[in-house]
Amino acid sequence: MMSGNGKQGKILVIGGGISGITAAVEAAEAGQEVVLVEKRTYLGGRVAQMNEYFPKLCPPSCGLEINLRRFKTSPRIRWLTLSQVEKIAGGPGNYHVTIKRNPRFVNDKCTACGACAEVCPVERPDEYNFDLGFTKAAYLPYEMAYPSQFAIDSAVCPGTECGKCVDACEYGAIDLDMKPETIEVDANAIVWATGWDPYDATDVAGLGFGTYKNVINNMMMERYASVDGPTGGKIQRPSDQKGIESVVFVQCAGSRDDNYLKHCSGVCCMGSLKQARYVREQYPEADIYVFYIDIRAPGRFEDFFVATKNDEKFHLIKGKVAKITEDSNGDLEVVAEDTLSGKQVKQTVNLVVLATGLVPANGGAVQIEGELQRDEHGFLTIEQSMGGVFAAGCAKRPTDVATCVRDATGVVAKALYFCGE
Amino acid sequence: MSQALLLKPDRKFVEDIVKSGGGDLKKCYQCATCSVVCELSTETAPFPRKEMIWAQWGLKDRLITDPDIWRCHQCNDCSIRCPRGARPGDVLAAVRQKSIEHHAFPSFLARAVNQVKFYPLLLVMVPALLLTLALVLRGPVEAILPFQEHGDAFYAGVFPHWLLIGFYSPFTTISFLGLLVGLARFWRGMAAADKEQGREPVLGVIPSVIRIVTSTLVHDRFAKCTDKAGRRLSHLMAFYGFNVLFIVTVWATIDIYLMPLLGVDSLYPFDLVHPMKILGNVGGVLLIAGAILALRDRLTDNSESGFSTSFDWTFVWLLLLVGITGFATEVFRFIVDPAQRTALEYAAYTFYFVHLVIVFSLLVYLPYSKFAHIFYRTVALVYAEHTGRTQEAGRAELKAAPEPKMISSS
Repeated sequence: MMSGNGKQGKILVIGGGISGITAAVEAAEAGQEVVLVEKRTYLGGRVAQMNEYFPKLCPPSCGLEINLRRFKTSPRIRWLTLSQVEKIAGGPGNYHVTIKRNPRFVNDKCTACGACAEVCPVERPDEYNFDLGFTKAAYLPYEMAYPSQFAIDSAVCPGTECGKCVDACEYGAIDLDMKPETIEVDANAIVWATGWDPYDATDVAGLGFGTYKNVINNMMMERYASVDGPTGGKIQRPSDQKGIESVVFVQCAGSRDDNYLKHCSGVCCMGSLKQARYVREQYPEADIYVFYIDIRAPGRFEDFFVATKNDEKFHLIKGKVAKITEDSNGDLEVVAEDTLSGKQVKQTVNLVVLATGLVPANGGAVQIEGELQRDEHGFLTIEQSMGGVFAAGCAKRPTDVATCVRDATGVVAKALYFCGE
Repeated sequence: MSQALLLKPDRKFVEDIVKSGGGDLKKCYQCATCSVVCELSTETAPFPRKEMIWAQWGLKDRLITDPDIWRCHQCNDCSIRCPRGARPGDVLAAVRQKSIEHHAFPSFLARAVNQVKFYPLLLVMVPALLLTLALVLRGPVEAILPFQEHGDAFYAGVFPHWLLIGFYSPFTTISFLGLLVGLARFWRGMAAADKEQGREPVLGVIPSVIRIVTSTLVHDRFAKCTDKAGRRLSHLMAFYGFNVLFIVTVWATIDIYLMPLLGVDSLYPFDLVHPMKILGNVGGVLLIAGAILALRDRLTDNSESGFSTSFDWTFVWLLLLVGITGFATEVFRFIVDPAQRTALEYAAYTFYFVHLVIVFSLLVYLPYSKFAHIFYRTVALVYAEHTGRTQEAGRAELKAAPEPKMISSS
């Protein structure tokens, strides 16, 4: 049975985040075969790490779940986790792709019962929670992860010499001898949906990220606020696990700055406004300060902005934070000039959240004929010169989830052109 | 509530600032990183963020009467941290030049002196011709008014002290009066700007002067500029070098002309071991070393040290040249044997002549050149102390009329 334009080809999607998943389901529903490659142990990407979407404040399991359902039930989608594209040969309409699939050490028999983790003697930093906690070397990426299978982190697992998990698993799901595989795939077109990483603010002068424990970034805040996060959803200070009475959001933390990250990511303002709501929900008395240069809340987001700032304990200060110091209690003093009054502002708070921007994710080197074209900020341009290769979502420009979904859908329409005879 | 604000942008002024080293000012997007980074910025009147928008908008009146621009030593901590590369430190330097030029009296001279195309005429030809004229007229004047020459016959034979005093005194006096007019205009401008804002004096002028002069003597404000310790050192050396030489020169004049009136024999020219001679030589070394260090700083690290304009270069080079020609003059006096007149002797006179020309350029054009910064900066800082613009006084003021510390949106 054919659908769509009646032609059948194959589309390779690189990246299993919201953009990649969307591209895959749209292409599949247009009648194409799809191979999706994801380097992590799970699908869902950055969206899976979010607590709530703005502006509706619904959980990401909502939108992600809908697309994952389409994804899971599609007969035309094949997907590979723990996999990375190594080489792309050929040309438009006729690409030959070499994929390296790293061992999960857990096969499809896994029921995610967790017996392996119980006996596992070693721990690893929980990268899903931005290293705010630890998991065992045998771990489920997160509660709702898809595939719902454990994985074993070979970086810390002692291997067969330990083997406790192998004995503990009733289903024979663990194979510590799994080896990397090389998989060859032919594809007519390629959708590059490699997504983004949070900008590392460690080097940003004056902000103390990485030095002061109670200076966190916005993605860490998402994890704190999430019920499946490191604190079970309680927003607290990393240094002493105390609740908070006051918090500062530092907008443009490294962003729009020639010395660090030149571009505006366009979503961090809404992100902070959303996170202000998280704080308000848990701490009705907390003072929330947002230091900004300009607030980006275009279109329908303006209503959210106005509603948030009507909160009388929500304070907007127009001026960029350029200096943060820590006192002996772990409290932080932020210094800025309030440019509307022309006076200096010093505000001492319990927690500082840096609204860091989005940088193109570094998915590892891919051998490809011709060079991938990037803009001045490192994002891929939509059409690549080799033809039949398209960027989608945050690989192309920093943006919100809804835009990624629309964008990925549009990009598939372009890719379909290469899927004919 | 906000009041209607009528802005009168002076586009010519914006162009002037751009030409004088503030070329990146339009890049500023008012994030105020600069005002936080600057160690000399104050709580109640942070800078240079506000100056940046005034400069963009061409608000000349506010800028040239703004005392805060004179807190800045152009260490460029702000420019290094500026996310947009707008270089606030260099913009403030350009504004200071414009402030001097605007207030200086007569203003046409200020505009002319700072244009490179007029350098040959104003800095070289005018003083050289005037000095030559003075030397030519020496005979007729001496015939009418016989002067008794003092001391060493070597230089004094050609450039007698009475002639030099007679030559420099009127010029420097006129120049100094011009300076006073400029400073008075500057003070009135600052006061007028503050009157609009209802700021009242909080400290007497004399205590304010004492506070600022004491602080200047140790350069403690300059010491706060985090990355530029070397710059403070070179400035200290040039500052003390010049002032020591100035004091020694005044003392020499007193020694030659006033001491005999008091019945004390003049000791001029001083022996090499005379305290004043030692002081003078030390001052000369400090001046030359300070100027060389300042030039090296500006030449080697332009992006961090800040953009240098002809306004800056001319001043530092003149200081270096006045030091070098001064020392050359001194050395020649020891190596030339007055009994056996040789070509060396003419070289000695030439160096002395050049030295005198540069002294003229430095002193007579002081109110219009970068040299004026010593006075404008002092006046601005005294004014700021006087009106409680500084941090401590500002806190008191906040008590009287509390400002909301946080501006919540409305």
